[in-house]
Amino acid sequence: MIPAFHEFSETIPWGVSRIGADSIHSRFGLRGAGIKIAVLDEGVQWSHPDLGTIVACYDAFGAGGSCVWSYDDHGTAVMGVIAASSNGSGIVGVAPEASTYSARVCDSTCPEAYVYDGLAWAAGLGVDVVNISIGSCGGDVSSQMQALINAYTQAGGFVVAGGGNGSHSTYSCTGVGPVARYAAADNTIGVGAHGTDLIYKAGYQYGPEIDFSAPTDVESTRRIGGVYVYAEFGGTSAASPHVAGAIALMLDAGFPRNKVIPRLIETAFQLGASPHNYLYGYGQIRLDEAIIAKPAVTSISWCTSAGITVPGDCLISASVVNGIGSKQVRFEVSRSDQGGVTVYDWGSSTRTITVAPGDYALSIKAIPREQTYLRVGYHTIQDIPVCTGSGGALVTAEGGESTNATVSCGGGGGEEQ
Amino acid sequence: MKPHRLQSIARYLVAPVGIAGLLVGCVSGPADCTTGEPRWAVHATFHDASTGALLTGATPGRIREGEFTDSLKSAGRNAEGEVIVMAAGKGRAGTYELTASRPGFEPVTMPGIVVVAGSCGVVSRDLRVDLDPDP
Repeated sequence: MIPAFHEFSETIPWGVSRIGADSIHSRFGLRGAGIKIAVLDEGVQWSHPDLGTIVACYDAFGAGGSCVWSYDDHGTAVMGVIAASSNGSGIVGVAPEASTYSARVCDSTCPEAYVYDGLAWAAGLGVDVVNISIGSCGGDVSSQMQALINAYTQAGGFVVAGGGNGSHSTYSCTGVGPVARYAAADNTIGVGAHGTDLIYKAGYQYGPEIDFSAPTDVESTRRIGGVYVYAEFGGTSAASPHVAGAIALMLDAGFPRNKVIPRLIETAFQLGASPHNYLYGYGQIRLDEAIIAKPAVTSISWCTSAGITVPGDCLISASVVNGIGSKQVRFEVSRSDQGGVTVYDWGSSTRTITVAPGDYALSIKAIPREQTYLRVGYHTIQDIPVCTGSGGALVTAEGGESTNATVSCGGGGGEEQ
Repeated sequence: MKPHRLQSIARYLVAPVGIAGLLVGCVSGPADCTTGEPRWAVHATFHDASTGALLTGATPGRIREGEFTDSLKSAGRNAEGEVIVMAAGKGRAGTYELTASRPGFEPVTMPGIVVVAGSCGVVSRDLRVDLDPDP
């Protein structure tokens, strides 16, 4: 049976695409599976057809139940940016397979004591990433809240918070104002916002506490007018969950927790005049760069730089950069006098190969692999002379001027490709 | 720059929970708000009064309070991309009259729609508007 038209259709919101999350989904199958994300907000309408099953919810106001509430359009939208299902309909979030948690810490307002309770609850459940799209016109979090944030983040958690909407805010903020206090707190990740034009949203709060800028005015899951819909969602409330979801994908990709933020900074797309500025922080995260642009082999060494004059065992070694964790390499070795390639499959970056006697040249290609990452950069060297007998013998192969046509023992060397 | 986490991998159940247990109930501070854009004053869904069916597609109309008027805008779509919610009056409290008309249905006027301002902006009013089919 042919599905109805709409079953083929799933919109990738521009923000998901802009940070490269859709590329990570499709190329590597990384969708945040097993990573726990909590949204501290007004509650989430889990019945929205594009949101998956809630793992757990918490109601800081004590009402319990399903943790849904009449004000929860905002929380529903935040969760949609993070985790709208990849189900062929509606939209898809940044980390659609993440395990999602919701703490209702706001009703008409968002008292810090309830945000505190929500964060403590999430931390207690081992949640990996907490999103707080809650703002103020500057100010500081309490010492108790800062202590909790410190304990949670030092233990490996991530707290991501919206920088605030300034003159567009729903709280009292005349003009732009300083960065909202959760985003400005130590050890949180403060997020500013930009539109499709990649320009800072005028009137939003900015300052040195902004770490990244992320898309806003994006399509998300909403509950408006009492019905479940898809609609544009704005403010730094929409930007912050892009970063929270991105961190989930980084963790899903196997990045150690202490490497996630440095890697996002390292690969961020610079916005503004300097690598770090008050409007955009380090710029906009790029998951396709952060995750895909992984390791590269920069050089290969072999048993002797002067040619292999004594056939037998030869130690080859590949230098791998950008790698984390176990760096595996696959070597592909070919001979100029034979067809085919001998593959030394995934293993150590240093390997011993056996060089047979003869007059020919070796070509070695080293391909890096790192956990779930596919290789990006590889390195090839060619014209490694293999000479029968003692060193210095001249080996001449047939083939005119082709690459491997003439090699001389005692010479040769590597050539980057 | 804020200090960032560069710590090694650690699972983290004990410390936060322990701290939470000590401090819950001791924290106070000014109330904050979510960082979305200001809410609409009025959301409206339109239904066929004879069948109760939700009408899809934009319904033209406006809200009015004294000299202030604002046209209804598309505010929400279903999975097929069809508009099913209209809205007006972003961030503005007041007492409104809504008027709307749609081909095939009689025009409708709804007066006395009170929208109040909460601590974090307006509290949106969700309206169900039943339209009578043309005779």
